[in-house]
Amino acid sequence: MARMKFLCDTERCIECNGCVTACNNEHNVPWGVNRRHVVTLGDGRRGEKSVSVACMHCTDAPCAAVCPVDCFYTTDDGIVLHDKDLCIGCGYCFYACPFGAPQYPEQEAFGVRGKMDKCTFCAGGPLPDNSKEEFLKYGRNRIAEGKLPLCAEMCATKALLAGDGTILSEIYRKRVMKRGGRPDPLGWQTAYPAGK
Amino acid sequence: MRKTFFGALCLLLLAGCYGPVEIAFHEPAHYKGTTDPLLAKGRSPEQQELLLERFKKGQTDR
Repeated sequence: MARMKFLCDTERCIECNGCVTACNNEHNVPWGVNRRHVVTLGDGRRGEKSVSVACMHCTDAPCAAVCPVDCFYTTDDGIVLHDKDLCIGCGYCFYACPFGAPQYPEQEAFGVRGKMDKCTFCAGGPLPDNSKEEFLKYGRNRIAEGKLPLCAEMCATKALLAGDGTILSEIYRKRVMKRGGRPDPLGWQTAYPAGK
Repeated sequence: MRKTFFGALCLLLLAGCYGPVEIAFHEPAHYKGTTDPLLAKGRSPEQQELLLERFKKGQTDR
C-alpha cells in the first residue's frame, strides 16, 4: 500500500504560486482560505528559498490528536481527511498544526468560525465520491478519479511532487546525487556572478 | 390533605428531572463520522495501479 506524501524541492521552487492558484480553482476554495501557500525564506536576498506548504498528511497527525469531536480520519494510504458535519470550528487543530494547514472561512458575522477547511490531497471527504455535496464541502475528488493532486501535477518545475513517499524519496535522492550536493547549481551563479 | 397535595406536586416536578442513566463511553481519537466510500475503493489494487501510472505519466523527474 502506497503512503501518500507531498515533497517540495526548494532548489526547484520558483515561487510562481501556480500550485496555490491551481488548488483554489480546482476546489472552489472558500474566500479567505488558501489550502496551499508558498513561503519564501530570505526573500530578495541571494540564496532565497521558497517552499510550497499545505497539509503534510502526517502519519501521527496532531490535528487529529487534539480534535475534541474526533472528526479526522486517515485513509489506508495515509491521507488525513476530516468530516465537516462533525467539525465544530473550535480551532484546536489550527493551533496544533505546525504547518498552518487548517483554516477557517470568514463568512459569518462577529468573527464566528465556520467549519475548518484544509488540503484533502484532492481526495474529498466522507460523502459519495464526486457528488455535488462532496464538491461543495471538500472540493473535487481527484483520487477517486485515479488522478493525483492538481498542485503537484501543475507544477511547472516539478518542484512539488505528490504520490507514494517511497518513490518521492527515491526521486529526491537522485536529484541530490545529480546536483552533487551543491546548494544552488542552476541559477544564482549564472544570473548573479560573484563580484559583479 | 394539603401535605398530600404538595407531596404529589413535588413528585410531579421531580419527575421532570429524569435523565438517561446510560453512560456514553468516549474513545478518544476514534473517528465518529460516516464512512468514506473512498476507503474501500482505495484498497483495490486496480486503484493503486491507476495512481502509480498517473504518477509515472506526469510527475517523474525530467
